Amino acid sequence: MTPLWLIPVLPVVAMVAILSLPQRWTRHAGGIASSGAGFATALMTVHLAATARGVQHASTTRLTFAGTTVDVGLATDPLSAVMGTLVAVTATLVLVYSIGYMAEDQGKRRFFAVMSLFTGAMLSLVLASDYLVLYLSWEAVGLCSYLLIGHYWQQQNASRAAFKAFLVTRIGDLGLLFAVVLMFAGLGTARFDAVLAPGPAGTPGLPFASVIAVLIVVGALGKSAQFPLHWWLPDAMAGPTPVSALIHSATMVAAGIYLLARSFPLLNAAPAAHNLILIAALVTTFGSALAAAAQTDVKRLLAYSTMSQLGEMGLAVALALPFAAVFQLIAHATFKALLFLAAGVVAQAAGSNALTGLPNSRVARWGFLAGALSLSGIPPCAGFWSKTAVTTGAPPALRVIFSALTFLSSFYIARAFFLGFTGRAQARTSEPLSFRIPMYALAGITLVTGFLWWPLAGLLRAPRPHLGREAAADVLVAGLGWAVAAALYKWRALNAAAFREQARGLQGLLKGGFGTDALPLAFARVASSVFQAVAAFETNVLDALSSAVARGVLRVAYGAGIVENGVFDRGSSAVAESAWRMATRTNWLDLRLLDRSVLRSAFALRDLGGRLRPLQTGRIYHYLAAVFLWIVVASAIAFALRW
Amino acid sequence: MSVPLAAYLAVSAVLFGIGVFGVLSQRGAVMVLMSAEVILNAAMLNTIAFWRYRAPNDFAGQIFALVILTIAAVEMAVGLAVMVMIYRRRKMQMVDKIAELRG
Repeated sequence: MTPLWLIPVLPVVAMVAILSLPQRWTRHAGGIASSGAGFATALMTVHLAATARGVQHASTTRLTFAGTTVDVGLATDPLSAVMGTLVAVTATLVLVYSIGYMAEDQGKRRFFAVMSLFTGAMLSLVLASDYLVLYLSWEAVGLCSYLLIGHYWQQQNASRAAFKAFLVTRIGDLGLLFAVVLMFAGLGTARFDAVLAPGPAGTPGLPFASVIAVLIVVGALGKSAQFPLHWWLPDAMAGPTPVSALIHSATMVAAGIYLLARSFPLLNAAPAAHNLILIAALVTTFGSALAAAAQTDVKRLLAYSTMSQLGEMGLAVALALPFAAVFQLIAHATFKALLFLAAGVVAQAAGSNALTGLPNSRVARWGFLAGALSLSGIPPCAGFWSKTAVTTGAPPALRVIFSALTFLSSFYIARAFFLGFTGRAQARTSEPLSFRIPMYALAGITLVTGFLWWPLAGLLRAPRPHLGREAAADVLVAGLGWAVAAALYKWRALNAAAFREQARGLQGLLKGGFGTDALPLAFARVASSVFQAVAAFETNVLDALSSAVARGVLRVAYGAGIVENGVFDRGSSAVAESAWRMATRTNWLDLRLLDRSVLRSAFALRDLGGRLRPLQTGRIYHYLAAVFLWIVVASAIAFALRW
Repeated sequence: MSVPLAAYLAVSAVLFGIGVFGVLSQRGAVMVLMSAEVILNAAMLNTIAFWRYRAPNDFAGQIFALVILTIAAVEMAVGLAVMVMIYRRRKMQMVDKIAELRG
């Protein structure tokens, strides 16, 4: 069995490889990114199979800093193995799709590098065995989201959307950070098993348990774009479509739901957190479903749909059905990624996201239809089974809410299908293989995943779905939604201009998410008037005060200047002058005495050399004669001295 | 032992004189080298004569002679090699024309 940490590291290795690629090999960036995610998928599958056999793996590292010991690491359990496989498979398929989608893009290298980094971070998020690793990965995926929303940074709306997404999700991230800090303060560890362990006598074993639970929920609301931190997601569609498919529908925004499902024992014991999820999810799921029904931009429509679906998962968590929420998450990831990929094919060909006027494409049409049916909960698609799991677990009083939701979501997705994907063929677009393979795969998965419910339920120890009258009623409601949409937008049953005029006002109201989008704006207005008041106070009072202080300081400085000129400057001038005089004298001494004597001896040596030069004739016999002469003279002297 | 030591020394002195004269007077490099060889031979004859007459039981004299022989051979080889190189570059071998160390 391969080590667990290899799984998130593989995509990161792909990122490093892409960034160190020579310029002329940039076109292989997509292949490298897909391979990195593909290998991670393979390893993840192996681990999933092991988990199904009851074998769980963990890789833990002990970090010590400032005398504190922290265990961080990754581990597989049924939930993380299922989530990791989902993330890896979706990432691989979307990256393959991106090879075709980004073929002509200038920022291809940047795109694939960040996508690989995201894949690695997302895998480590779902495989984390403690809240610290989860939080760090959480921040990393947020960073990747920011970078990828702003991929077309030359367009002002893209860079503004990136900034907005970053700031709004940061509010939620702060909540999660505080939760992690409180865990360390209370327990000294953030391991899942320690934090989620029940204390004695049914009380939570964690100090500040309800505060931590609320903070975790705040983090999840920010990441999953739930009210009141929801308004960044529709603008985030300014990024490339593969980014919307992978990050802003299938995986990253679902991380919030994963966090809720993971922390479920903690949340279940905290009524405040429970109520917060319930309210936020209810508002979001209805507001966004209504907003989706009025959108004219296909990607914004899908974004609102994502928010609505995430809200439904939040409701499932609030109704104590965390595993139904996870199954809904899996189903949603497959069909929403498929919907985005289908929309991306035609929107890219059209060069615009407007719902009407998308070109005709058979692959996109059937792909979108498969995703739409799954979203509506029509059997045998994955959406049917997951929705059934949620609705059958819900108390009967709430069942009507889910039926209304089913109707709304069937209606808006059917409307999108009839408006955008059933047009007459004008110019056929031909899709490259890299578009078709992931879409076929996702369509296959979304049709088949439903049947995986039984093994998955066994793996996650969740109740088996109950197929009864309720499920049948939901299918009927979904069919009703499709019928109404078909009547309005396909057969044009109410084709009167007057109806459109009346509907326009309603549409305007709905488009903003039933007024929920205006709420943060109102907050912003109040905040801005507070800031203006503060600014006025500052100009009138603080400025006068500070200028008085400045004047005093100026005066002191002036006095200090006089003292300096009078005393210090004169003193230093005198010192400098005497130094100058001394230097002049030394200079004279130097020139007259030292320089002259040195030069004289040098000249004398040069003259001597000139005189001796003629002795060096270069003739060998002169030298030899000198040698023999010297021998004779030396011998004569020696003889004379009797030596 | 009818020939006295002085006779050997006289021959040696004559040889040395011839050698010195040759070294100082000849212009051809080969002749200069030959004269140097004659000086060395004079020195060698001296050494052998002194050994034979003064310390015939000591090996040092013979060894000295052998060393001088070797040095003479080496000196000849080096000198001739230098001369051959100079001749190849300048097409002449007159020592009084070679007054500079530059190549």
